[in-house]
Amino acid sequence: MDKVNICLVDDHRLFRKAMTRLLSTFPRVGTLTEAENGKQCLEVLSRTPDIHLLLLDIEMPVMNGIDTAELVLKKFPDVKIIILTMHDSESYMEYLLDLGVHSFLFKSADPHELENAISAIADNGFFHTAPVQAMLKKITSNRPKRETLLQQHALTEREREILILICNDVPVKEIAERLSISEKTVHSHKSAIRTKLNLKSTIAMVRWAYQTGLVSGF
Amino acid sequence: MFAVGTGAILLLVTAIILFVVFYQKKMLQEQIHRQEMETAYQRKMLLATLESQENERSRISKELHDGIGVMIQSVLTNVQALGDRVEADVRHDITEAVTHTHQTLREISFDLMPASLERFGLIHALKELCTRLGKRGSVRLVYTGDDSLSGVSGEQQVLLYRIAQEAVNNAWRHSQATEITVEVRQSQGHLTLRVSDNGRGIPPEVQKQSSGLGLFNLRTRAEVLGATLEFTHLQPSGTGVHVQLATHG
Repeated sequence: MDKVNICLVDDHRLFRKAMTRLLSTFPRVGTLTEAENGKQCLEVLSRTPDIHLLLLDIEMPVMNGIDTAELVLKKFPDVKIIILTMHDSESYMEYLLDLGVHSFLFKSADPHELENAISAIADNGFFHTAPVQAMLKKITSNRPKRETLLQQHALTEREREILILICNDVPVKEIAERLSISEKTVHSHKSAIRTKLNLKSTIAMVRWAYQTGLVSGF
Repeated sequence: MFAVGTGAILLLVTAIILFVVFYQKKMLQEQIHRQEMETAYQRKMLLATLESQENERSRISKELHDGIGVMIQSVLTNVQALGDRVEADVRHDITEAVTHTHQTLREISFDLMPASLERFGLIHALKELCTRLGKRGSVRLVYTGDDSLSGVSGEQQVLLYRIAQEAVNNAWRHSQATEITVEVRQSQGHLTLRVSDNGRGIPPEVQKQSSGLGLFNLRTRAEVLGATLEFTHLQPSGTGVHVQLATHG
């Protein structure tokens, strides 16, 4: 996709206004829609089919971000979700990651990080944001377990190669070029990896790669 | 006649002695009972006081983090959206000042009541305490132990968290330790919380004082929990704070 259409879900009007102002300065961002809670967000998604990405807050009245993420992942599987939060809590992150959300950003994120993350997640489903980086670093410090190490052999050489490239923030397009295969083949490898490892999202694959020591990098 | 009189008096004296002994025993029992009632009442009052204190802390913490925090964040995002319309160094200075304010606010909010304690429980909150305090200074903080708990109520978890927080803060501020370890283990109906450091230790005279270094807070909370609290000197240096509690898990 050329432009990324975004729905910003947050209950604080002043923050939505400020964030919309910032987002509209990014060339890659297309239409911007606002919703003040999860219920409104679901309504927006059902009547606006071309929304690519959600920037989703956690704490909201009526329907919070956790419940919203769960429903959106089920009903609108093509929509990417970035949790945009003030809670720099690992517990929240792990929980939401297991649910299948695509990434996390702090509301205090640097504008460049926000801009890069939006593009990369819309295109490739993964990006090393600061909170994701912190979580992966923590995983790496807890050394790999033997059983997960053995699990690495579940993947083919090619799948491992692709997963390592994904972990290094290499866009899908570039992966295809480097390996002289089509983008479509990269995507089918990706979904094969996900199915084999029984994981819900690209970020979960990346986490697995760090956990098993397939990627170290810190 | 004389013998009968003596016998009667003896009987009377014995009866009086028996009565007095019996009466004293009963009085003593009543006194003990009253004391027990009083202790139980005091414990209840203390628990209620602590509970209302925790509720208030939680309220203020949320208000700071979610209310004022979001407003500060909105200011920051607006400044970022200004882009090139404002000189870069002015934008940088405003951003730095607002970010610093925000960071301080979050630390105060976390110290008051970690959001993860209410939502995810003691273990998560302790891990987060280690991570956060680790970032604030040069002391290494490590959580080791169980990853989940069973049969420990929310109130008990908050009390245990406060004990751990106090012990960690004491070690962090006063002991000159370079490493602090927090450990929670549960087995066979017992929960053990241990906070150990490699610092210079707490002098015994300070340990005995009822105030100072927040030790009073530790003792009060352990008492309310019905847990045992022990301080130990570690070799070669350091202090261990050891709490043990009977649980249903």
